[in-house]
Amino acid sequence: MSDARDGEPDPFLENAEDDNGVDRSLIRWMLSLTPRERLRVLAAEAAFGVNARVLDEPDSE
Amino acid sequence: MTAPFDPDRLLDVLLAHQVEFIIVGASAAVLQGAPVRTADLDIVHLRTDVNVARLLAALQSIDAHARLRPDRRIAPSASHLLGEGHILLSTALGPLDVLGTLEPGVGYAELLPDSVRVELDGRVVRALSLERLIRAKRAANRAKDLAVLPVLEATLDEVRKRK
Repeated sequence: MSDARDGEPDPFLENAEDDNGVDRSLIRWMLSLTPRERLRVLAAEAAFGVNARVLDEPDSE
Repeated sequence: MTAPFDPDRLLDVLLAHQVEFIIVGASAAVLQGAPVRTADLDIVHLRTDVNVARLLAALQSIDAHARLRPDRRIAPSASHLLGEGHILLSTALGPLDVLGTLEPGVGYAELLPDSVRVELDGRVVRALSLERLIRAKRAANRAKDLAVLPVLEATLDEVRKRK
């Protein structure tokens, strides 16, 4: 059951994407971080990509 | 095995060696709040003898070598770094692209007016502004550059709304 107040859009059903399909809520979240925290997000995403590739190699278990 | 990408520490090494540089590419966009991905750090450096010597020392400290020839572990030289080309490196802190120029004839001095100061816990780096990044991506006109344009433009819009 939605907890949205009368007259306000339901925050879980609201579309965060703009006309180009860009998720503005992600941008706002990034802007809420410090630049160093943003770099850490970048590093974590890169590490995730490397780890995913390793798991995809045939001899990895 | 490729070293994990650690842009935070890469920047610390460059700053510790007092290298003058501007962050360009996706890392510059991330620093300014764009949720885009990259697995390398791109910089354009000031191509003076003094700055190249500092950059060379920084690169030596992180075992930088040519990324395209990992088997031969070719370290960059001062003459490489004084040129206009793009030096693609593997380092102990992940991939680092050292660019003499971003576009033909557009190096550190030309980009400096289009850069912004970004504070990293008291230390300041320079990153290419979102406006200039967008212009560069448009000019490059490659699929991978055009694909990221909507995110950069939306980020710029959100930044402007906050001012």
